[in-house]
Parts: sequence; C-alpha cells; structure tokens
Amino acid sequence: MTEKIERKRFLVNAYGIGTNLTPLAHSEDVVGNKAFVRRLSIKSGEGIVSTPAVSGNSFRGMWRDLAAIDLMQTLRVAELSKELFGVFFSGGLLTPEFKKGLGDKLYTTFPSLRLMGFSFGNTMFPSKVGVDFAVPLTKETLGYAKAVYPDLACPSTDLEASEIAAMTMLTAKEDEDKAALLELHLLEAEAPERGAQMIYHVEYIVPNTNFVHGFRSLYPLSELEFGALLKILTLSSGRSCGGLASKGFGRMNWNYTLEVSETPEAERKVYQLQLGNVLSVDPALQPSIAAYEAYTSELAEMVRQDVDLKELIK
Amino acid sequence: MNTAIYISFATPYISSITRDECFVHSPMPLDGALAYAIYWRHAFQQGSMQLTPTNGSLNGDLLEQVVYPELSRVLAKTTVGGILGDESITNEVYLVSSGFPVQKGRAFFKVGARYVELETGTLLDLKYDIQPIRKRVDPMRLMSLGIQPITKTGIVPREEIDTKRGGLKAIDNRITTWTVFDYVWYAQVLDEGLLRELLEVLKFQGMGKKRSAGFGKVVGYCIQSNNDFVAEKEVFIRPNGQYVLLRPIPYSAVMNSKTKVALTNLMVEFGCGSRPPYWNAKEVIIREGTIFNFVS
Repeated sequence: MTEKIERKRFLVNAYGIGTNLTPLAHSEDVVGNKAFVRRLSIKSGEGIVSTPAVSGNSFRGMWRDLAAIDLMQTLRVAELSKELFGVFFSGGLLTPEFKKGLGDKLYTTFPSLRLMGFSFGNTMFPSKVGVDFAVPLTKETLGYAKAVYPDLACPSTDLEASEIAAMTMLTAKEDEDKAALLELHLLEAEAPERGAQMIYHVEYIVPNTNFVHGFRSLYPLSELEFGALLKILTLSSGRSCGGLASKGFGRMNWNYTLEVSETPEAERKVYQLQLGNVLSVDPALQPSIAAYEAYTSELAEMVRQDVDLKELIK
Repeated sequence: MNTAIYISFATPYISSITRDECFVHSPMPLDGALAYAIYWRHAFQQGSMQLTPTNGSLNGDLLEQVVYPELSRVLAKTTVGGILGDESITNEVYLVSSGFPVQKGRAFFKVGARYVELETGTLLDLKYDIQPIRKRVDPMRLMSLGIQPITKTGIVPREEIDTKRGGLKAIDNRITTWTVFDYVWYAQVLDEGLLRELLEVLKFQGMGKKRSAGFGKVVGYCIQSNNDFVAEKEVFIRPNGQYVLLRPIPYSAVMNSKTKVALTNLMVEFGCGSRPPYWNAKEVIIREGTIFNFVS
C-alpha cells in the first residue's frame, strides 16, 4: 500500500524571475473598505526596506490546492471524509486522534501530502518544501535579490518601491432590476434591499513588475515527491497568484532555474522551467512527472482496497 | 565563550519566542539550529525517507545516536552544576549563548528585560512587524469538484460544514517579527570547520520558524573571536558587577542546587528546553537576562 523506500533522493533549489501580466492583488490589512497590499520588511544591502510581497504561504496554499484537486480527479472521488478534506486541501489541524495510525498511512500513501506537510490527529507531519516570498524587483530590493539568489541574473531596474503599487476601485451590486428585464420574480426572502451596492478599493501591484522568487526542498525528496512537486508546478502554470483571480488579477509568467542534486556535496544539475502563458518543462524532468502520474493512477484501486481509506475516500 | 557567530538574515527571523509575541526573550541558543543542520545532513547521508521526522521516538533515537555526539564535536558543553559550583547537579548544557540583536555592528545584550549595548549602555531601538498567517478551508471547493463530504453517519450537507471550529477551522494567526536582521551568538567552539559546514546548511535551509513560508532566510555568517566580553562562571557576563545569564538553564537545577543564589529580573519560561530540541521539552527554564546574585 505504501511507496517503497527509495534510495534516490533529490535536493532541489529553485529560483527565478516572474512578471505579472495583470494587476496583482495580495491583501493584508483591510481598513474600512480599502484593502492594502501585504508588505514585508526585508534586509536589502545595508538597509531595511518595507516592500510589497507575495507570501510563501500564498504559493503553498495554491500548490496544495492544485495537488488535492489533481488527486481527487485522478482517484475519481465522489465522497470524501470531512477530516481528510481538511488534510488534502488545507493541511489539516492538530485535533484529538481521529484513528490510530491513519496519519502515518496518509503520509506514506500520498507523496503530495508528504511534500506539503499536514497535521492529523495529534501529529504534525512537516513540509518538505519551503517557498520564499515573491519580492518585486525595485531599486530598494535589488540588494535583497542579489544576496538571496546570488546565481540569478537579476535584470537591472530603475523602478522605486513607491512606484509599483496603485489603488483601484471595484464594485459589487446585487442588481434586482435585471430580474424584471428577464421577467423573473424574486421570492421575498431572496430579494435584496434595494440599492445594495458595495464599493471597495484594492491596492495592487502594477502589471509588468518583475519579481524574484525561489523554493527548495527542506528534506530530501524521493522521486515521487519530486515528481509531485513538478506536477504541481505545471498545474500552477494556468493559475493566478494572489487574490481576485476571477476578476482577472494575478496572471503571471515565471522562469525558474532548478538546481537538483542527490546530495549537498554532489554536482548540481540545472534545469529550466517556464510557467504562465508558455508551459515548458525540461525534458530531463519528464520521467519524474511520469513516475508520479503512474503512481497516482494506481492509487484509486489501492485506496479502495485499503481497510481504512476505503471508508474515507469513495 | 571564545567565539562570536554573526548571522545575517534577509527576511524576518522568527524564533519560537518572537512568534509568541513575547518581546522580552532572545532567540534560542544556536545549538538548536545546529542540531537541525546535523539532522538534515544525516538525512542525506543515510538516504532513507524514514529519516523524515514523523514521530517523536524516531527523533529521539536520532538525537541520541547522531545529533548530540556531533554537536559535542562542534561546541563545548558543561554542567549546570559546573556553572553554579555544585557538582551534584549534572544537567548538561552546551556552551553557547542565546541570540542577541546586532545594530550597526554592535551587539545588544539582554540585561533584565532590556537589550543594552555594554560599552555605552545604549538601549536597543526595537521595532517590529506583524505578519498574518492565514489558513482557509472552502467547502465550495468540494462542491465545485462534485464531491460530497461525509462522516461516519453519512453525507454532510454543505451548510453543516463548520469552519469556525474543529478540523476545518479557519486560522487567522498573526506573528510578531522583529525588524532585526543581524544576530550574534557566542559559543565555546571546538571545531570551526565543522561549524562552518553546519552554517552552510543553515544558509541553504534558513533558520527558525515558518521557514517553509519564506521567513528566516540566512544570507551570510561570520565567525570571529569574541572581543565583546569575557564570560564568567562560563555563561555569565558581568556588567556593573552583576552576573547576567547568557543562555537558558533549567529552573529545577538552580532551585535544587546547594549553591545559594538570589535571582532578580527573573524570567522563566514553561515548555521549553535547555538543550535541543528546544521545542520538544517540558522543562521550566530560567531565561537569559536573569540576574544572579551568588550568596557566599
């Protein structure tokens, strides 16, 4: 039922440049009806800079979600235990023990869970992948980019941090007048109060801003875990970063360099990964993705034969 | 403590203490991070997925068999009895201090609840940020995939999925981070070469909590002789003639010691250790900055 203990290990260090094609909203504080971009204090050169940034947690949330959706579709899941829903889609929470040994079984069965980490019962299973903040490249943050990603060819920039954020107004209206145009009658309970309209302001990072970003393996990855990581990355190619994706925000192109080695001392092989409008994965990485896909394609049958999991994943 | 180990961060370093919004404690001693680095290197050397920590006993075995022996090659250790002058107390601690903030090249030591630059008596101008850590579970995600949530008693209607409590609870945490990006730890170093190897691991992996979300990125380190103070009784500095503790030691050891000691500005902490793994201990410890008055 579980993945065989593999000898092959992967140490992954990835870094790259991204460019937002549409405005990017990643809000932190809301004051009244104004949502402000999340900011982070970083050390850049000898100074401390407060810069807009997209949190590593935001990437991790998106990747976890994509891994779970892919798994649900591959396993053709129709019914899922409420507890496992939390584990697959958000990493779960520490709670009183649900079923003895089930956490370990989930850990050994699902490579994507091992990769992203989760809590189940009274045990916390640590994540194997660490994801950095994506930091916009400005005059003020260039020192940070060079220090954190010394091998990255950073494009020079004349932009200042104050120039990359702007505020836009958005509205939401429950427009019951349209019902009359369509000759629909709203039930009294459904009818909103007349004129209910919301105006709100969102701070965003202006399009065509370059970001530096990276991620790495915190523990050695098995081939299946490495395959899961690559699979998730390819799935993220079509996804937006940050919030308000349904309104067109956060479309991005990414160019990552992946340094992969079997041990910290071994020579690192370098691969390229392009995400966004163009999805391009180095052919040398395809076997790992294929191994993960082959494993998950067999999982459905395995899960349905497992005495514990078959009651929780149907 | 013959060596000063400076570490520079590019993103805020979250020690277990700053995460808890407790402003009066320093980052934990460096032996905790070095222990992690040893563990990490061993995971690669052994090449087994089994080494990923999934339960406490595995970690415990590794600590005893691998981590502590190697840590003892890097750092000198002593007993709390040796510190207090009572050989009957045998609790061991590594000779490494808690972390102290560095601004403009000057270290600020904790004396009582304040951070003080020893030479001039200047207090640290400590600023901090609040970083949100959120987690959401959206029941609509299941609906959009055509999946029914179930429990032992059958299908759960969507409106009955509770995201305010239980395993699907939405999380809105806020982490307090210092806008300090340079820290120094003082240690009695036995093998500087090995120390550098371990610091290289930390440079790749980062340090502290929430590394998986991008905090605690290490961008540089510097090892040099400690010219800032001469340690007394192994783990104390003596500004103004007072013995000020540089690292946590077990509260029970001090209380059980035959050496009489009066404590001022006593800072204790529960559920923390006096050696790695600091997060896994159930001790009560006396924190750095506490002032010891030895009664003769």
